[in-house]
Amino acid sequence: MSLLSTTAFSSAVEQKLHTLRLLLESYERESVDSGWDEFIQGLTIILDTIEAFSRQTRDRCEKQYADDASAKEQNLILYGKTSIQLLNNLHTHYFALLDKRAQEPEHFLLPTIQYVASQMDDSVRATLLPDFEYNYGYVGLEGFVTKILAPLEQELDKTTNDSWHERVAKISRWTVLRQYPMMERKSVLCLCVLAHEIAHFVDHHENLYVNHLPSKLDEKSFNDLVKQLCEMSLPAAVGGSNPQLTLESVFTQERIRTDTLTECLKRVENWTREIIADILAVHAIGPAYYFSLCEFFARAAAENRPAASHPAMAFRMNLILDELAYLGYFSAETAISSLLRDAKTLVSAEESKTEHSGPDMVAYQTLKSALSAMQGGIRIFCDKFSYKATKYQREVSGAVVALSLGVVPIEEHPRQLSGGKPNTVPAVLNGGWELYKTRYSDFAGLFDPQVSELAKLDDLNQLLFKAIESTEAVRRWDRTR
Amino acid sequence: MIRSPEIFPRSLRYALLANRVVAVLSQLKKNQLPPDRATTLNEAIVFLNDTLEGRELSKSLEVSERAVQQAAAYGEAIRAISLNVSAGNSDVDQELRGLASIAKHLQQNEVVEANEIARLESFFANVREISLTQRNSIPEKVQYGM
Repeated sequence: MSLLSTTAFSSAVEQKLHTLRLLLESYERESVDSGWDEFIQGLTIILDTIEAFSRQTRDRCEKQYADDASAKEQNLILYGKTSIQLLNNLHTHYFALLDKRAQEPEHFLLPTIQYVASQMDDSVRATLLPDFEYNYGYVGLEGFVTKILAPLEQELDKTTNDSWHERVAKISRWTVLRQYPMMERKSVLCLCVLAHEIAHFVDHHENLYVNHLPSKLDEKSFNDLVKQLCEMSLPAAVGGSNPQLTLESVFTQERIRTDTLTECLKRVENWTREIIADILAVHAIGPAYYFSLCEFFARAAAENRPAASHPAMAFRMNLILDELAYLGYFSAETAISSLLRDAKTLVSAEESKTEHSGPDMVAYQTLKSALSAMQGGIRIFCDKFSYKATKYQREVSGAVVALSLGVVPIEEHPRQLSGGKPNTVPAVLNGGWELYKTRYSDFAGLFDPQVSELAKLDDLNQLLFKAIESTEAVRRWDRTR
Repeated sequence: MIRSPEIFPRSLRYALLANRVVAVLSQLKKNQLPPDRATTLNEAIVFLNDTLEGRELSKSLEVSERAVQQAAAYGEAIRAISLNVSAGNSDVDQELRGLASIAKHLQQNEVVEANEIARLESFFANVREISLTQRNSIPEKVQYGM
């Protein structure tokens, strides 16, 4: 017998559906963006189908269990809880995104980011969302309506299933959101970290990680971990004379092994995807990604420790520097090459000191031995767009010169009056970072001495924003001709 | 950071699947032929196969796209079997193979003894209960400012 009546559950479902629909209508009225319109349409399909699920399962229980009150109650509770949990999760995760979107005007970088996404798939609805959590993030929803409704399919009648399938076919398959910390919305130098979030989309869209997962977990560290967990002592009863219990005596070795396996597999998958995103990002925008990530770690006061979601900071920095070496930045003569070489010495030493334990150790050992093959595979994928040192040498110096004179680096050769080509986005970003890292005093010297250093930095970011916006406008104009 | 808003958690999907299997088996015990028998038994077989694959993974430690799902399914199965050892075999591997075999016989409309159907039903009833109790519902968030 349940503490709460089945009527309480069905009434809760009805009320939640009603209030969520009202909320959705209010967001729909405010929406000015076709990407969000489709997201709202997707949510409407989900709410309609959950309503049908709730009604149909209730009717079926009444008929099927007419002479078995206990089974009827059990089923009604299961279906009621299912609807409630789905509606709560939609409210927590998807409605929160709508709310954030409603409060923030479109970001200057969005057209460029949408352009990059459209190069992969022109049906992608990409957007940028600020977050008050100090973090960057990627939310990639591929066929989100289908993924939510498919597990209900067996419980619904054919007409309802046909209806939602037909409606889903009319909306975009991909909705992609990238999140950035609100406090960094005006800093192009900081926002270079978004290259990593864009890279998550590339990996997701192309399913790169599936082909680059290590073939098996590191056996020794995994078996050591299982043994250690099995032998873990449980708290002894006070004053008792019973033998010391271990985790294994309560949960069995089989269960401990399986739960540890699930944990380690999840970690290896997460880390693989982060490694791939780091490699793609550094190939896409070159040293600007490395510099911005280092600054991000500093601003986040991050520790060199692994997490369930990411490998340790030193591991990632070392990997990115390896890729920059592969792209020729250590051997080429650029203004930032010596900075990168020095960083490599420091980071390699730091990486060897990183401490790993438990599932982190298993993921680390597993990926360490698979890393070189993974890098090789992703490098082949990146080859067409890699921002190699030779490109950097060709493109970045013009942007640095323009910036150091306080000029927006829109075109490759700013002093030519006609026939100029728009700067590439990596050239603008790397120009900004090179100036900041090596010749910032040239730029700062342009200002009245009373202007604060931070105000000067704001101005540098403004020039970079204008450059990205304008180069994107020029490219769009060129495409229309 | 990849944020994966999980709207339909795996545990809830397992609970619904297990509930459908229990409903079909309960009707079969009464010699009724539910119309969704074939589809539902097929889902049961896929779930049991996933658990068996998960068991293999726990030995081979192989990594694949579906490995997490299979290992998690095996974890659910171990819990479900441990709840009801007296009804079946205490060897998890043998028990899972036995259950998969019962489901396949039923799917092919072969005669299966009532106690075997009850064994399969009991296993999926346990999966349903375990999956439902995995939900975390926090009624209140309290934060005391410093």
